[in-house]
Amino acid sequence: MKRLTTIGVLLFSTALLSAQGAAPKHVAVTAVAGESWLHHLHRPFDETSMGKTWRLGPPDLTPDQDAIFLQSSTQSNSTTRSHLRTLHGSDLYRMNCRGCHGESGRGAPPEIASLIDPVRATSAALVAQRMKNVGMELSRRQTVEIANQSKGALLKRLHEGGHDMPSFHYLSEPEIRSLVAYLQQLAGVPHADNEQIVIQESDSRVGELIVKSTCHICHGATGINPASSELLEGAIPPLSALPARVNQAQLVRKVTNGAPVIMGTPASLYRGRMPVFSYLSADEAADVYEYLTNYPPTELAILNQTLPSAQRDPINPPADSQEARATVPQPAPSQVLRPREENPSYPLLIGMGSFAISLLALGCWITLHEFKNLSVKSQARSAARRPAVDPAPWFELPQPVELPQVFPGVFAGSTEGQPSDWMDDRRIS
Amino acid sequence: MHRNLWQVILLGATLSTAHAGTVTGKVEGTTGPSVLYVEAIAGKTFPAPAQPPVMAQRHLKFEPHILPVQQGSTVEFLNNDGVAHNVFWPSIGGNKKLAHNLGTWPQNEKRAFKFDTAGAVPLLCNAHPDMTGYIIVVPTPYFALTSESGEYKIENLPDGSYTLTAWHEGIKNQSKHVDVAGDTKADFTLSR
Repeated sequence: MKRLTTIGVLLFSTALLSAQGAAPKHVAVTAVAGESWLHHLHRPFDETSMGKTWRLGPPDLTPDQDAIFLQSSTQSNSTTRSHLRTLHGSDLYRMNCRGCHGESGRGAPPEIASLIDPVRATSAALVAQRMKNVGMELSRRQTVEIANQSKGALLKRLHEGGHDMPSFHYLSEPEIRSLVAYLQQLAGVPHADNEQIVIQESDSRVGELIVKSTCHICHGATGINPASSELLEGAIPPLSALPARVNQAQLVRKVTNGAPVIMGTPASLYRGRMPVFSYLSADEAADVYEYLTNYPPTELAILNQTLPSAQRDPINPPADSQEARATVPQPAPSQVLRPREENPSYPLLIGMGSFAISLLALGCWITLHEFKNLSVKSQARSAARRPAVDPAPWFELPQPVELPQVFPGVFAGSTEGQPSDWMDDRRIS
Repeated sequence: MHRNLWQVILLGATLSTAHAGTVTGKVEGTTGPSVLYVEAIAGKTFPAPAQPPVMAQRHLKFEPHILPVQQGSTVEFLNNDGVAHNVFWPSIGGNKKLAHNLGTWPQNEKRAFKFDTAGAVPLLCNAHPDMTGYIIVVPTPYFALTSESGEYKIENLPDGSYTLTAWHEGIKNQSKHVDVAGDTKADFTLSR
């Protein structure tokens, strides 16, 4: 009976540990940092497909717009907004990919590659179909191998970026899963409709994703707030200058509907060059504003390990950033390293973990003790007949909780890049 | 002594010119380049070229579109694009057992593969289905890629009897017997 209790305690603690491992992890929100992606590419805005106004151009000015723009209310609807967002893969696509790859995913070749074919390549069913169509059928093993390899390449590209594409290393594993499921649906992978994944995110995270994946393509994190004459010459205001330029309601309007810009000398209203992101909701644009004010943009990508700006010399920064530093107040180091909102789940997790481990230790100790007793008793009863009791296999301590890898297999090398188990191809059969 | 040496050199030079032939001709009935090559010569083997031929991937295309190489050559696959490709071939010379998946690799990096079996290698990219290319692995160092209009020239072929084969994308190979003595002509007319 005592033994049963011990097993119960052990099982309970193991279950507790594994439950913690599966619990949704909060993603730490960090400030946007460093130069814009276009700056990194040395590409002027006017030479981009987006800059050529593409499909996202701002609206023409109408006479009543000045009035609307100048009257933009200062009231914020943030008090009534919820802090949790339910996101589908399609939402993650809008926030992270659509700005460049467009609604269809076909991009703007040759500048922005289509993502459709590389995503279709991840489906063994589609690979098999394609090879059958050209009369060069592959074995099932070969199609699965090639599709898996393309999956590895896709995940690697998402995480590391490419020459022209920024890295999306800040996406969490659940975000990637949900996003990739949607990419497959967008690319017409069979049965992808049934495999869509819904996730929940904080409003700060939503703002962070939109800023890092969309705004930061053209807007640098920090810098000088350009004068109206400079705006007319093509200057793009840094994200750090946002609160000085617009209030939340004005930003929402600018992002979702487009709003004229005061440019030139003498200052007058112009149509502006910023594309209208009509596919972002007012709530999402408000999240952008709140994120940028709660997590002020930083010059150095301290938490960012892949962008070259992380290796910049902080003691002898280039002349232009010194200038920028002089103009734009830099946030305190604590703000840079740690977001203002402390994540409450970490202490809780640690506490629960230690509790579980102590329970486990207790369980082990009791079991050991009992075995000792048993063996002493049995030795006393029949010393020669029964050997000493060996430790049972269930006796072993379970592995401590490990943080799951974001992309299992991807870092093993491109050739060996095996897909992670969540990307298994149940849909092939 | 010196005189003798010169005589030997002169003799050698005359002999070699007398024995090295050139085959020229034209391939008709098709559009675009074809590959012309001399089939295996009994009792003769040829060392693989020291310089590896390069098959690049540039602007989402295989470049060149058709690359003839001598059997035993190591071909370097160079990725010139900012995106990853996933190069593979479903067969070599129609033999599916020789299908191979070369994988993906980053921009400006190469991956090498040694082609030990003669035959046409249809190159594909899994990530970009519009990409197609061919490596034509031929058994001798005597081969040529025709011009767009089908003209070719195979040089330094010793005088003798050979089987000459024409390969063209999507068309059955055509072979003919050619007796090479000095400058020789051999035209082909291919049909689908």
